[in-house]
Amino acid sequence: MSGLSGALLRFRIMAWITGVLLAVMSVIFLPLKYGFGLTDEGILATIYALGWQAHGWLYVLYVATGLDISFRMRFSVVRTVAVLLAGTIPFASFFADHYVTRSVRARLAATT
Amino acid sequence: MVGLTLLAVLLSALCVVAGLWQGSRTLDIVEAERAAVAAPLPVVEAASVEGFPATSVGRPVTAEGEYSDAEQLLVAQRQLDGRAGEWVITPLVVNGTTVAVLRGWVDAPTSPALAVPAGPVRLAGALQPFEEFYAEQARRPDGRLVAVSREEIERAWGTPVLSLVLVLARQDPAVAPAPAPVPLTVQTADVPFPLQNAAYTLQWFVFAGFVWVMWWLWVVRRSPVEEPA
Repeated sequence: MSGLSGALLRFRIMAWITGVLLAVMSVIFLPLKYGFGLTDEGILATIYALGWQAHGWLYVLYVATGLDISFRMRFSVVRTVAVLLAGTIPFASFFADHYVTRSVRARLAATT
Repeated sequence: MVGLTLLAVLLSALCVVAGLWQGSRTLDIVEAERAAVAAPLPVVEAASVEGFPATSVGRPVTAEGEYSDAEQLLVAQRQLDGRAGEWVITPLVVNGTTVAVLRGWVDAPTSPALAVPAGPVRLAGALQPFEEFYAEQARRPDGRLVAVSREEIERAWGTPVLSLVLVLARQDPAVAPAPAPVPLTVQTADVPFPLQNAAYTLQWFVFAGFVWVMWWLWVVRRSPVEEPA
């Protein structure tokens, strides 16, 4: 079942990168922008724009890895879509990671 | 299976619509930014003595003030439509700030168009950078400038000037004869491209593709791994 472990690792890496970036953007940068207007110009404006652009493309990779692991795990369509959408909600990808990891470990334990 | 296929059609169509919407937003933002920098601005709001934002280069401006009686300067060896002549640079005082106005081109230093209008004037034109080449070159023995050099112009007038040159297009009240307007050497600076919206456009199309990848995996190839017993 090395394919499954590899798919899980890829998904977990993307879930953490996407999740941490989204958390930083929404917990730190959104208040800076809408509360204090600090991201209107200068270096913070650049970081703010780069952060969202990075999240956009990283989320594409997250969806790819999420589709891969969900297919290998035979998740239902609803479950799969929930895992994929978790990458767009702050902190939700951590729960998705937890759920997927637990499911894969249970599967691996059952088949060995 | 039919239900999932219909769902895939619907979801991918939504992704495409969202992508097209972001695409048109991208174009609208560029359009709005171009319109914003194309609207004339009072000259002292577009630039100051200390400096100017990049969007002010080539920007249409208006100015209300009076030409000062400091020396009007000629820039040597400037052609207009292939005819030899010189450029005329006249100091205009706008709310206490001296602006170097490139009034235009004359064919000879004896041209009657060189007479400086007295009294309040309203100008419309565009901002251009000072020339950097030969900027260190001193004035020629006949008093003409070698280039539209900020240093030499400030030395001649004994005062700091606005950090961009106003190239005159229209003057009110108009005078006749007047120096011939010269074309702009630097066009409007380009506006920032909304990269984020452009990226979202592409990403929505990628997601539309993912819908069909998922449809293919879940509907066409249903058994990737053995069910646990």
